[in-house]
Amino acid sequence: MRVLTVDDSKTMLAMLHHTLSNAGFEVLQAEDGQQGLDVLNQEEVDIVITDINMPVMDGIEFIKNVRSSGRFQSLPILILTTESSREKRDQGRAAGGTGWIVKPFDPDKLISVINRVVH
Amino acid sequence: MSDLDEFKATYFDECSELLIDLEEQFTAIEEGDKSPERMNAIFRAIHSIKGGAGAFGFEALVDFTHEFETLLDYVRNGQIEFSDDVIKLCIRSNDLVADFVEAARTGEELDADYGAEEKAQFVALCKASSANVNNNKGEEDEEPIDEFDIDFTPVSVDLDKNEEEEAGKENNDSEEEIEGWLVIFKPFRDLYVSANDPLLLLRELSQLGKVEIRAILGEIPTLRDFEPFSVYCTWEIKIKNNSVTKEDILEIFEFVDNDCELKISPLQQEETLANKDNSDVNAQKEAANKSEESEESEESEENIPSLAELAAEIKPKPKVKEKGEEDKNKAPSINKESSTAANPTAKKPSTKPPATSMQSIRVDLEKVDRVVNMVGELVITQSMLTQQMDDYLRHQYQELVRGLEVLATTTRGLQDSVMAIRAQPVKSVFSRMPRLVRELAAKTGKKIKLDMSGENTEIDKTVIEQLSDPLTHMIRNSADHGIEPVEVRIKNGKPETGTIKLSAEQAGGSILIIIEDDGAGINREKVLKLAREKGIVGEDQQLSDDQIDNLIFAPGFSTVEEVSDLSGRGVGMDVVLSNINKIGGSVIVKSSPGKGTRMTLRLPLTLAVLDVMLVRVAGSPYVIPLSSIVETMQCERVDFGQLPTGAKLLQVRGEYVQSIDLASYFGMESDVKESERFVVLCEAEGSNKLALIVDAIIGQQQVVIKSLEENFERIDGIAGGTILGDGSVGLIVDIQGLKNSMSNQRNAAA
Repeated sequence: MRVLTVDDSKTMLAMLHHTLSNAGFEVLQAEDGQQGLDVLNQEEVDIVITDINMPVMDGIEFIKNVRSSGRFQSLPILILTTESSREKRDQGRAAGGTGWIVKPFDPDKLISVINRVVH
Repeated sequence: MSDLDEFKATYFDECSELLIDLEEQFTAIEEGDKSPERMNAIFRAIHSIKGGAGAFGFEALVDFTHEFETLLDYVRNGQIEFSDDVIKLCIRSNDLVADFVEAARTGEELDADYGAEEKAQFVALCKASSANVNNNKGEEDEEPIDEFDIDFTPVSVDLDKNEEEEAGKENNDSEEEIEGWLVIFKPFRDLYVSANDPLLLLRELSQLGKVEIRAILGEIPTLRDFEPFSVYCTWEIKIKNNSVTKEDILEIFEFVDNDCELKISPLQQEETLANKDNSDVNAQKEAANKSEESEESEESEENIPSLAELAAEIKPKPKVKEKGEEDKNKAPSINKESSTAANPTAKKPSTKPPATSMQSIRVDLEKVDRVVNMVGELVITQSMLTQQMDDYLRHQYQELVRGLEVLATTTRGLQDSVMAIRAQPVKSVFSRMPRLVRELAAKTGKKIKLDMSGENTEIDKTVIEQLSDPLTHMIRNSADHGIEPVEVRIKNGKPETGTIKLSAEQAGGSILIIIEDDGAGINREKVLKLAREKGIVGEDQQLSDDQIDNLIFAPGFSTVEEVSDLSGRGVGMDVVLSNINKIGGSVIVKSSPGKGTRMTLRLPLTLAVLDVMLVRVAGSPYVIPLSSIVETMQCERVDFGQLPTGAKLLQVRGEYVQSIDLASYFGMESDVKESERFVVLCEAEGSNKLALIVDAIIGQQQVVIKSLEENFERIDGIAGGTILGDGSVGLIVDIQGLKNSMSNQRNAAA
C-alpha cells in the first residue's frame, strides 16, 4: 500500500516515514500541496496524509483540488491536526478530508486509523 | 543513534532553518513589508517548531510556541493590529523561541518563568482582541463553523439527548447483563464525498466481536433518481460482545459523526427494533427481500464478505451510465472488489518507479563525508594509474589508455558532484547580519544600513559553519570603528546613514566575501603607534600603508582603548584571522582614510580537495596551494639581492620580495644548480608576497588534504600532507606559516 505524506516539516515527514515504513507501507513524500498534487498525478497512491499549514498550497486548498478531480473522489485523505486547531480540522473535513490524526501522533493509532479508511 | 535521537537531530536541524527563516521574515516586516505571505510563513514556522516539540515532549517550548502561535494567528487574521509594539514583542519572542529550542537541544533547564512575561502579553492581547470582536459583532459570531459546511441539509442528530437517554438506561441496566450493542447507522447522502465508506466502518465494527449486520434499503430510489455517489442505506448492526464499550464504537464513527445519524444502545436479549424498522422497508419489497437474504447468510461466520457482496450489488448500478456518467465512476467499485479481502498492510507489488517529486533528502553529514573521502581516494588511484602508464604501455594498450582517459573525466565529474552536495548558500550566515547591524546601530546611536548581495553563492558546509563568528566580528568592527557618528558624518559631508556592504561571489576556485563600509577608514597613525607600543612592529621599521592596515589582524593588537560592548568580548581581529586561516582562507584589508574600509575574505570552495602545484625540493615532492601562487619564474631570469642579514630578496617589477630556499629551510641540500631552479611567487595574507625557491615544477593537480597532526605531528611551515599518485607523501607548504616564521626571525634579529 502506498501512502503519500504531505508536510512542510521535515521532522514530521521523517517520523511519518519511519512509522509507516515500519508498518510495511510504501511512503511517498511532498512538502506542500502543490508537490502533493504533482505526486498524485504521477503515482498511484492508496491514501494521503496531509498537514494543513503549508507554504505554496495549504492543506485545505490541496484537499479541495484533489477532490475536484473525479479520479480521486474515493481517495482517503487524513488531515494532520493539533489538539488546539479543531476549526482547521473541520475546515479540512468540509473540504473533503476523510478523517484526521492528532499531532503528536501515536504510531499504533496512526496505523489503525489508516486501516479504518483504506480498503 | 536511536530512531528518536535521529528524529531529534532532524528536528533541531529543521528548527535552525526555521529560525533563520523567521529572522529574515521579521527583518522584512520591520522594514515595513507586512504582506500576508510573510505573516503566514512566520505562523507556519512557529507552528512547525511547536509540532515537533510536542512530539518530543519539550513542554516549555510547546507552551511558549502555542501562545505565540495563537497571537500570530490573531495577527494574520487581522484581529490584532501588527503595530510596532507587537512587532517588537514578536521579535523578542522569536529570540526566546530560539532560546527554548537551544535549551531543548542541550537539555539545559530554563527558569520556570522564562518567557512568562511575553506569554502573558500574548494572552492579554488575544483576550483584548476577542473581547473587541464580541462587542462589535456578537451576532455574526454565533456559528462560525457553518460557513465551512457543505450544502447538505443538516438533519438534527441529537447526540447529546441520545447520550443522556443512554446514561439513564445504562444506570438502569447496570444490574442486568448487557449482551452487546445495537448500532443504527444512517449516513447522510454525501458521506462518500469525503471518501468515507460505510463498508470500512462495518468492517472495523466487525472486529469488535461477533456482529450481525442488516442493511435497510428502503430509501434506494428508482434508477432514474439514483446518484452513484450518494448513500441510500441504513445499517443496523448488532455487536454481540459484552466487553465492548460505547466509546469503542464511537471511536470507529469518529470521522463521520457529523455526517450521519448514529444511535447506539445496549442490546438486551432479543430486540424488537428490527421488526419496527422493517416497516420502513415496505416501500421496496424486492430490496427488502435482498436484505433478508443477506441477513440469513450473515448468520454464518463470514458476514463481512456477504455484506461486501451486498454493497457490490448496490454499487455497480452506476455502470448503467445514466446522466452521461463517465467511466471514471467505475473506479471506486473496481477498487473495492479487488481489495476487500486483502490485508490492508500487505504491500502491493510495485512496478512503479519511486516518487519523483521529492526535491531534497536529508543525509547525515558523516555519510556525505565518507563519500567525499572515498572519492578522494578514487582520484588518487586514478592519477596513480595514469602515472603508471609509460610510453611502452601507452603504445601497446591503446584501449586501456582510452579507458583511463574516460575514467579521469568521470572521476573529476564525480568529485565535482560530491563537492556540490556539501555546498550550501552563504545565506544561512548572511541572514543573521541585518539583525546584528540593527542592534549595533541602536546601541551606538549611529545610522547604519546593510546592503547584501550574492547570498545564494554556495560554499562548503564546514566553511559556512566556521564563517559565522569571523563575519559577525568583522561587521561589528565596521559598525563600531568604521562608521562614524551621525554628527561627524554630516560634518564631513557624508550621508547621515552609513552603509555596510556585504557581498559574496565566486572567483575561480575561491569564494570572496567582501565587507565594505563607507566609514572613516583605518586610522593608520594610531594603528602604527599602538603596534610600536605593543612591540608588534620595530621602532624604526617602515611599513607601507597596506601593511599598516593589515596590522589590525596581528596577534595581540586591538585599537579599542576601552573594551566596548560591541567589539569587545575579549576577541580581537587576530582571532578572526586565525579562524579564517583554519578553514584555508585569508583576509585582506584595504582602507582609504575618510572614505571607508574594505575587507576581503578569500575562502576555499571546499575543504577536502585542494588545487595545488606540485614541486620538487631536494628530491622530494611538495605541494603549494594554487590559490596562493601569483606566478612562477626561472631563477636565471630574475635578480636576487641580498640583505646584510643574509636574507635573500627577489626583485620583481620594482618590488622587493623576501625569498626562502625551501631546501635549506627544511634542512636539506639541493642538488640542482642555482640557475636551473625555479621561483614560485606566492601571496600570503595581507598581500604580503613571499618567493619560494624550489628545484623543479612538476605540474598541477588536485589533492586530498590529510592532517599531518592527526597522522604524524605538527611541523612548522607545513600545513598538511597528501598522498600523491605514485603513493608517496607530498607535504603541503604553509605559506602564511613560512611568512610568519620569517618575520619572527627578522624580529629576533632586530
